[in-house]
Amino acid sequence: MLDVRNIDKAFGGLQALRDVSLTVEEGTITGLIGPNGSGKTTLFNVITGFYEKDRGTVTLRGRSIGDLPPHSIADRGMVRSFQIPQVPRGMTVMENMLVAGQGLAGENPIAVFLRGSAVRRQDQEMVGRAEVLLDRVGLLKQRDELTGSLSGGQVKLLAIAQTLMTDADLILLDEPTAGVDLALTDQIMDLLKDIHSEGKTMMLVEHKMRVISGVCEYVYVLDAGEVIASGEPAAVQSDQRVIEAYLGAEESQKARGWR
Amino acid sequence: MFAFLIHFLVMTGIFAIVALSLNFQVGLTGLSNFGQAAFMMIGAYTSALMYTAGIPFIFGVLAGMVISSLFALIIALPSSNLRADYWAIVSIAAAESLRLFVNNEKWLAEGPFGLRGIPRPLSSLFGDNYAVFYLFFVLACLGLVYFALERLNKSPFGRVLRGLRETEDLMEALGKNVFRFKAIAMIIGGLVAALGGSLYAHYITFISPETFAPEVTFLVWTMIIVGGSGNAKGVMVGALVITLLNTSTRLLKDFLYLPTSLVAALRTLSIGLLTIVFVVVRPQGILPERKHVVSYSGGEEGSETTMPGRALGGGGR
Repeated sequence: MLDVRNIDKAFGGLQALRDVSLTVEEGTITGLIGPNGSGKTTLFNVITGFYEKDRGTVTLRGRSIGDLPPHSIADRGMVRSFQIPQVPRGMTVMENMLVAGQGLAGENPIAVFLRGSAVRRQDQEMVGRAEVLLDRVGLLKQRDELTGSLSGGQVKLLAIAQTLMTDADLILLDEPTAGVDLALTDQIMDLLKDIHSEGKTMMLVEHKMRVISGVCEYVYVLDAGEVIASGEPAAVQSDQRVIEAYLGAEESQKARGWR
Repeated sequence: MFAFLIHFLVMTGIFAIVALSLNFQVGLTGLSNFGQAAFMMIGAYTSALMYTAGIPFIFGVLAGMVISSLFALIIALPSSNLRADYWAIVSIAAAESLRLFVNNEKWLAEGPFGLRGIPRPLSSLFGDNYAVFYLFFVLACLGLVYFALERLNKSPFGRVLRGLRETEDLMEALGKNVFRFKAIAMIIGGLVAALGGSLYAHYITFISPETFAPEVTFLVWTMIIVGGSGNAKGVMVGALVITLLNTSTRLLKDFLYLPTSLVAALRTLSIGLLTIVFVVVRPQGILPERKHVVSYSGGEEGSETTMPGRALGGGGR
């Protein structure tokens, strides 16, 4: 479904990604792991059009998306979340959901005046959809609260609900359980499996091995900008190079509870 | 006294229109436009020149709005990838360039001497009561602008604007063409400001490049800061307060035993002090932005809860 080939990306003298290739098969949950600074988020940014790559190709369902701006990539059915959730504090939870809707007639200011009733009808429909999704992630009670007043965990859930609202069939999540307590991590894992079972394809950047082995079917390991291993979670965990890459960074990782 | 009251209200109405247009860009979209005077200027000069040439009033006003939106697009195009601070620089540079151009030409609009004796539409009909008629006309325009911009604010279009005010990347990731939305917000603000400029020109009947100096833009900014960035009603209250301070010299000079120049300085000083007090003590303004509760049972309304102290330009990065 998503095919990434030979990506190079440098920031000044720092080679952030070196000849990175990976594939996300339709209907899978694919994981992307690696120590801090290994280039996971950079790769996400390249795939979703936020960074320009130096070399390589990105193909979505056989069509090249490598040179498209982020919003056009989202239009083609691939959306992402952010590692540090972007929260428009001045908008309510419901407004956050509605703004994620696609193909909205009311995004054209002229239509707002000339086709008022159609815009209103569509908006009403979207509110209904948003309520179902908010209920699913347990945020329906916070419907009319400003996102600025949500807890960190609630913001993570809202970000996932937003990606569902877009109707994209490929969802890229950047550390959906970072900074979240154990109970909520379990809740998010169940949610991801649930979404997956409805036919959505997903790719996750993750730190927690528990999440990786819990939900991912296939894993790529990134270290210092290169893919050093890939395979099923169990096989990757026992790969010598992966263990070394992580042992090298063990001291800093211990505190984060990975391993 | 009555004449002053009418004059004060007309000026409030005109500046409220311009302040609402700037609020649409600054308060809702987070675009730091520091060139609003140029959009007023385009509206003022276009309708003044066209009406003087015998073209019906309404066409001159509309032409001003069209040219103004083109100017907005010219500012928006090179700024497509710029963050808030750079918009401020580009917009003030563009506005000053236009003003200095008019100041240095002679063939079109008399350069620094400006346009005098701009005709007032329907003036033969109302005679001595013209100001009263004009007040109703300005208030009708203000009402129209208020309802149109509020409707946009609450629409899916307005949600994207308020979304990109703080989280531009999120909007891109959700499939919104951020540049397109910013450009449209500039255009809408630009054409509304041009309407304000036209109304000003035919009321005061004299305009020159000096009339649209950057101070005018700053004056409109203070209306937003004092009134409440993001809240249309607040912005109109801000226009009232600042216009009161700005026009009160006319009254005060009869009561204060001070030289006229000192009273004028006092006016600028009072507006500056008031702005500083608001920025420090109440950055959200007199009427803070309200959250938008989306409800289809009782219609969509701003709820009573106000937002937790979002100061002006909170989205600028």
